[in-house]
Amino acid sequence: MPGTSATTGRQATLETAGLGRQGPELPLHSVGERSGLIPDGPSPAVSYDAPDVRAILASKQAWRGGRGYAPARWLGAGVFAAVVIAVAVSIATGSAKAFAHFGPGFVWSGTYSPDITGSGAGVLIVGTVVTTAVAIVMAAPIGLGAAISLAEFVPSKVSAIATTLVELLAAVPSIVVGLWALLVLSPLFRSHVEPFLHSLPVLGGAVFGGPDYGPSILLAAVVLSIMTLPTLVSLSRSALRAVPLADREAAMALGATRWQVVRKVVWPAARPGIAAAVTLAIGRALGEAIAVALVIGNEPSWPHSLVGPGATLGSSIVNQFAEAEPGLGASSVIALGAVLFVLTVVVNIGGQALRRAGRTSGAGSFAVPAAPPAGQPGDRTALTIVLPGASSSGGQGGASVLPDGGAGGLGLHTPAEPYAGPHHTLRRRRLLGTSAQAVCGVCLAAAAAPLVALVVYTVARGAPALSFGFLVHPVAPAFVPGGGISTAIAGTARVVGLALVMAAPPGLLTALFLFERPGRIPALLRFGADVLSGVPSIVIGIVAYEIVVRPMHGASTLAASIALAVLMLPIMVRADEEAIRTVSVDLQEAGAALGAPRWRVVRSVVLRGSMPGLVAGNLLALARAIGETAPLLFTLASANFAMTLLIFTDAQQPETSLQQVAWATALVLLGAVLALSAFARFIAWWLTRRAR
Amino acid sequence: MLKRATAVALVLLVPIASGAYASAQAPKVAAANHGKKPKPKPKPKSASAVTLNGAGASSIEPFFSPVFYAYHKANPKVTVNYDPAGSSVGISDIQQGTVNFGDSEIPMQAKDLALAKGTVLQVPVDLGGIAISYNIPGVPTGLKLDGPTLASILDGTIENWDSPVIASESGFNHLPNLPIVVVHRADSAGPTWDVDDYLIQTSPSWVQTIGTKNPSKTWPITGYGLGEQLNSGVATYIAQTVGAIGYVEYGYALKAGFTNAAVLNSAGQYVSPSAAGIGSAGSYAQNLSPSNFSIINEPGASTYPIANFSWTLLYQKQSNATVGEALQALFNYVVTTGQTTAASLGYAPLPANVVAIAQATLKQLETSSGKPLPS
Repeated sequence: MPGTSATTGRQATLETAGLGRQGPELPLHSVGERSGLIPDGPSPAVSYDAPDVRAILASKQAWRGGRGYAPARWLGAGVFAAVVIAVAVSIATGSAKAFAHFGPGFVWSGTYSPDITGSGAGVLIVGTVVTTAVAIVMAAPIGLGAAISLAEFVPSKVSAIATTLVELLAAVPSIVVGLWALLVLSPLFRSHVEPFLHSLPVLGGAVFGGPDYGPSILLAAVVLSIMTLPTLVSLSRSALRAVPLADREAAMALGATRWQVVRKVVWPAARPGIAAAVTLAIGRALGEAIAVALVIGNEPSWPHSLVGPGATLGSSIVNQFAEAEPGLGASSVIALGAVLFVLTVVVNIGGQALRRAGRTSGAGSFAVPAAPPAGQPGDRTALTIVLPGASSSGGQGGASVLPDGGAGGLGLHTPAEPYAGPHHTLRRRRLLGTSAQAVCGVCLAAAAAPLVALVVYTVARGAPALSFGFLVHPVAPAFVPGGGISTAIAGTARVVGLALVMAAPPGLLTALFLFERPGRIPALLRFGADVLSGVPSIVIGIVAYEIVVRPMHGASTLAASIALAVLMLPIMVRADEEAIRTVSVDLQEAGAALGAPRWRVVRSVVLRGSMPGLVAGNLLALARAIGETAPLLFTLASANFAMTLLIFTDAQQPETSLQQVAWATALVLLGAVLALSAFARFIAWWLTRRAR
Repeated sequence: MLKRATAVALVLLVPIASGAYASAQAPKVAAANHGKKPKPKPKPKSASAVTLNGAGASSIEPFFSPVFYAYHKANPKVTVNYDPAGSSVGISDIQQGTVNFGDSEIPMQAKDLALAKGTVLQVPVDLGGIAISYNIPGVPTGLKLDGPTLASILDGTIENWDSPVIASESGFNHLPNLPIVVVHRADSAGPTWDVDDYLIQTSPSWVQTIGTKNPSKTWPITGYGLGEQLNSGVATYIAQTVGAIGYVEYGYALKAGFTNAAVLNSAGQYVSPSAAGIGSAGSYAQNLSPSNFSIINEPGASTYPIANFSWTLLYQKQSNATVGEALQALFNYVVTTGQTTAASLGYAPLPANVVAIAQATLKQLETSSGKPLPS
């Protein structure tokens, strides 16, 4: 890959695969995301006067022979913008009737009832927020501990493997987590966890009161935390790894233990990235509908106990949208979607902003605002170490030099200046360091355990039912024994394949548009991508119903694949753009210098150079789409036409034979998704290697 | 370069190709997506192959599914997809016109019909009952409940199975000390309406608690008990939860092997759900119509008191004659030959007078121009 900078050994594996390098990144988006326009290679000083060259590249002359290129980009960007606008408008118009009828009070009115009279989202907002809050309170410490462990303490080879595994696990479809939670965790909660929580003093009555049902707010929160953990771990790990090695070395040179390095140097510098990771996890937890609907107990009333049943906006949409009567009824459910839309989009845009801020202004610059600028000795507070990003004038994430005046105390006693803080003996520091490492290790185990258990359990339950016949026979009607899942596999392949065909070209063209053009329109489009990627998939399902199913008088493969295409589009735009930006400006300029018109440079240099990233990014988007349930719920005519829907229905059947089908289908789905994710990484690695 | 481009193209094409292959493999499935649009599009050659999409009550699924399957085996050109998403979904989907037929345990009333896009025919297609199923280890059978006791259990007045009220009514010395876990339908559902109606008719305390004498499809008690989606969700929960009690369509209870309470009927007898008891309730249906549909708490010593008919919903005007004829033939089969399998599936065969009503209603199906379909 052109322009690859020197990396530490730890990052080498992923780096060569063109995958998630430093910088907080969603695994899905982690495809070669280096902002390649600012080469962080050895000599930033030699960089060309880029704007001039770009002007030449964009000049009229360069366009000869490639007339279609610019209109195509505009078309792609136009399609993308149209999709964003269509989603927003359809939610707005769909919910207009309800808001007109109930007034703005709909949002906070507490008495939610499915049969419209006196509807309100208040109870559901509280349910959603409580569930998400509990989930994040559980997931964040564990996830961050695990990330620290992976980034700082675990041997590099183990870390590389574990990180890949974590990123693969991020692709585990939520319906599989839901299946496991419903059939395994829920009975366990009822028989053991909830009685135990009751027996706790004080808390038992106040927070964990009421009968033991199994399905509960707490169980939903546990499910959400299990689902958000891989994302949290992988994003936070990237943020931690993005802190330059030199900073660590500097701290080490001052005598810091590894834990102190983490605590005083790495953590403050990585904080914006970690904040972004937590925010994105919150966004995901808020929007999850299917798995929550399976385990929360569906009780739309004020939650009075964490082990009692509840309901969220998402779970209520799952349960109520299909049965709502046309007009006000349907509009009320869409209004719930609108509330959820606003909630998640705000959180997600916040997360994206944090993420971008953390990336563009060098790693540490706003993490350690107290750091004195270079050259001024400053007041050396005992805990400050000046980070390079803070002093070197912005933008240069990679370059790292310790400024002269800034080496601070790290809480260590240095002879140069009397130190007034508490004195820690080396022994005590070592002890602290070891125990902190142990705690982080435990967090890593705790983060991995449920996911590993989930996968193992799915294999153990699903494998016995798997056979060739199971894969090639059509789904049998309910209450008719026998049958397989071939119609479901075919249905998923058809829907997802069609969605890919619909989403990939506009995605790439939009990415090229963003790449080629500076200014306000791309900024707007990026904002659109942030909005669209924040929309919960259940809301996209509603939109597809409103835009496609209703006018076409029926659910169809087309409707389902449009829903999935809308879901994939922002992911693809972002992954494609990040892949394209990895291509070195030098190479593009070389192309232009040889007289190649712009379209030719794009085709032969940009696209070729970014191919590994493009392919991997699109495949990862595909893997995500395969595992989606919510967008299909209202857009496919029968659960037999998609693996995820089949799991969703069969999981809720009392018959063990159907539950068996659910497990086996989950295994096939899990296999497909994990294989595709792994394949995406492999193909990126392979293409990169060949390009060398 | 070329090689790599090919490789990339291959990678991107694999899912599409497999999808295309799969479509070729499953022509019926593909057909589902054409046949579904009730547009006046004249079908070229495939006029004889037709896919009918329906959605509605989950209560009828144990009956519909095998019957549709048998019909498909006898008439391979007709494929029926039934989505058991709930009675209210059946009504809603018909109102929106997104299915060929809907099904609801409670027929559409004037308010519902007003939201439809044309005249809706409502055809009684099965006769079923709602079982009160429970999961108490050591109490395999024999629980007897009257309206007031059932109401006390469901509204939380009685919270433990060891209550002497339950034991004495059932003739047990004692029941285990076990918390009662009430599970009800989370969605808006026919069985909820039926149980609510039974309790309204038999228990003054229930009327007092819920504050109305009008039965509702949504569970009237909030803040107590657990909601589950569809019959299947409730049944799954009962199956995996010790101490649970809930109501499910008898077809599901039978299939899942549940123990069901004997419920007091208006003749003063405790009757367990069975095809015979449900059939007896159906035999009291005089002048059955979509507005006079209730067969809750009917007389007769052997009558099971919580029973109902399920109603298939069809637009009278069928813009696609092929689809219209297929629907007519299918449901004529369902109300006649299909009824022979009912008893084994946990339903009672429709009484003769109801079959006559159903067939007469199906005769009213017509083309969009108002011509009767050849039947």
